[in-house]
Amino acid sequence: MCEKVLRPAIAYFTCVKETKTTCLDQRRENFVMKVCIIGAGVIGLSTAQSIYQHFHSRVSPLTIEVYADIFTPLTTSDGAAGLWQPYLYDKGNVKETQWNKETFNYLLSFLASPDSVKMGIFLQSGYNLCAEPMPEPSFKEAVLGFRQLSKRELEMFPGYSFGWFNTALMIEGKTYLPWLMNWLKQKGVTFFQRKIDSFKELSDSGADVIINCSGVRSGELQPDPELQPARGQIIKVDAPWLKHWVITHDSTSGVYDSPYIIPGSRLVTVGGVFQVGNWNRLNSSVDHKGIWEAACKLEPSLQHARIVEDWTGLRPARSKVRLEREVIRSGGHSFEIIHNYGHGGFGLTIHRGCAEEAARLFGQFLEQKGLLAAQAKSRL
Amino acid sequence: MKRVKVVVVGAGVVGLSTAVCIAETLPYCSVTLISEKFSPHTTSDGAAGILLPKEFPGIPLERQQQWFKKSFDHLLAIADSPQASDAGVYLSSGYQVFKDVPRDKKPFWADLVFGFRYMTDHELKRFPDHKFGQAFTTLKCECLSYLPWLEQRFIAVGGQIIHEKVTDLHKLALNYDAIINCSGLGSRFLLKDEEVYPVRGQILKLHAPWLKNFIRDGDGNTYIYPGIRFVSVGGTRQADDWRMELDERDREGILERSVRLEPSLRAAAILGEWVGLRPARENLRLEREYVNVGGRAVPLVHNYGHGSCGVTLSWGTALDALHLLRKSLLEKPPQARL
Repeated sequence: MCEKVLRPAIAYFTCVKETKTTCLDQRRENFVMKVCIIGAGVIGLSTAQSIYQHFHSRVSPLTIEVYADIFTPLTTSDGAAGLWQPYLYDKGNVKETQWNKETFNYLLSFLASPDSVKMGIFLQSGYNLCAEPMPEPSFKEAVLGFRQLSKRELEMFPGYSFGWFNTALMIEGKTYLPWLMNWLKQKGVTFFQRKIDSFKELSDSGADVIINCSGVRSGELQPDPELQPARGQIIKVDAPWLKHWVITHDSTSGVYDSPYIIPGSRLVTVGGVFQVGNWNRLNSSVDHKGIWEAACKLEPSLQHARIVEDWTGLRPARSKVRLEREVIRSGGHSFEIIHNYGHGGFGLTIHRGCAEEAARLFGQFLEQKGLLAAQAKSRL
Repeated sequence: MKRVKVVVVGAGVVGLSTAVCIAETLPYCSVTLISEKFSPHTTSDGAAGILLPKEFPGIPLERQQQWFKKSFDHLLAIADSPQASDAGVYLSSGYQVFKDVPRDKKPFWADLVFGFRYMTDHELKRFPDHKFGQAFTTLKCECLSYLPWLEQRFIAVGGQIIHEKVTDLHKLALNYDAIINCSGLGSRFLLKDEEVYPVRGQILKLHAPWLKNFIRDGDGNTYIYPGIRFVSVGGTRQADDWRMELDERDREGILERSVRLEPSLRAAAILGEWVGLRPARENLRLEREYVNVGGRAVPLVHNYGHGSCGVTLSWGTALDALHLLRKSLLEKPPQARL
């Protein structure tokens, strides 16, 4: 009956009205679209949101469930400073640049809304510092007021002779994730605190589509040699006079392996290290010392700041984000997986763009199965 | 040689800066600071302390630029040091937005702050009521911290402090070799200078720690200045208004206008409110005259009338006052007091 959806446009709309009921009845009898998302960091939660937004009225009933062993405030997303900023260069991953920009514009649109504070979104300006002239970064068009630093400004940062200034967004995980969870709960999305040991486990329990947002531990579900932890340690400091983020770049040491200072709404995050292959979740006093000394050199006023705590997180680093569909066949069954992991140190930065793309892939799946009530192209 | 006795009247940001300037630079002077009010009860203490000059019509632009530049450089060195948090001095970036395009799009101080540029269309989207804007980075100097910090510097070089209201400069001249008048609005009474008048300003102190950038309406009536522990939101500019009491309507007006500029302020709790009287004058008075007492000509250096630019011009005018003092002492070495 659902094939009727493929008729020419003129008859399309009326046709859909007729057949929609039929399809729905069939589905109600045989089929509930159940989407199970693994992971409740910013990627998992925002993907749930995008899927709900795009499909709750077009696929009925649509059940969305989120499975994770760790929820806010203990996820990797919660520990991140929350500065929207991609790596300087996308190395040809133009889609990622697009998703980053999409996320920026999406968050920016909420700034004037009554929800902005509850979402943990606000603007902050700052400095990207380099030891030598570098090509302009991938995000220069996305951010506000991007410009080069003047010589006078650079005098404030001995050791750095080049850099940029711009205004970007902050998106604090510790606030954003609870907001997302609340949003999802209100829409009927359910949460399960459970470690998922295999995709099959979920498929066996009725999942039609599994969205894999398991971040750094994705390898436990499906080996992926390209995915590695990139350990980061940060120091949270009380220094409320600091109003700019400062990120230094060292072409020899790599991204985030160079000091950075990112003021948040309450505390300032000081980092950083980027230790690929290091699974150690414990704070290291050696790293603490290195980070602190470098930061105090960069920002002398930190010397009188009160240190509150250290935190360690494992960035889910990958050569590029894995955002794609996969059909897994097991014992006569096949089930659909949409992977959305490997966002390294830019999960918050890219989350919405990726969530929308994941939703688009889900839509593709639905269309292929003929499960989608016709797209209201007649949305005149 | 006996030390030259200098007295500075007024312990706001101008008086304290001047006193420190003199005490640290002239070892042959012993400096006393005399004032009715000290931090946290001065006008300076309520000021947000954003360095942003206004143009005085009757003073050569170059002199005003020098005042600002010297103040900026002095405070920048503090901001860039471990002392920054004790002194309450740090960098602050933000926007000045205009409902109508101003005649003077690039003010005289544009090259003295950091990164001055016009706002992009993308940036202006957030301000639908405004057609034009400037973006820049300047300094913020919070007197609640800065004044006590300056006081410590002053005492460290032997400065003396007297808590007393000065009502008669002639009497003061009997006991000192030089007087520096930094009495702000008080000059109206102390000197009978009718050109000094109050410009009343009311502000709210809001809890909005997510705000990092300042926003100021170019008309000067609305401004949002994120500080260390609270955001200063204002304001009013009521000339010849001496009221020190809070005005309910002013509060409503300030809140309404500031929320329009920055909607997230809707969520901000009110921590406090404050009223101050800016010591306005058409032109800042920075010049030297003499007071004749008992056959002596005592130099009287005036350094007042900074209006809303007290913090902004404090160090530059202090240096100028120091220069005038030094000149006076060289021209007419102090004679023995009776």
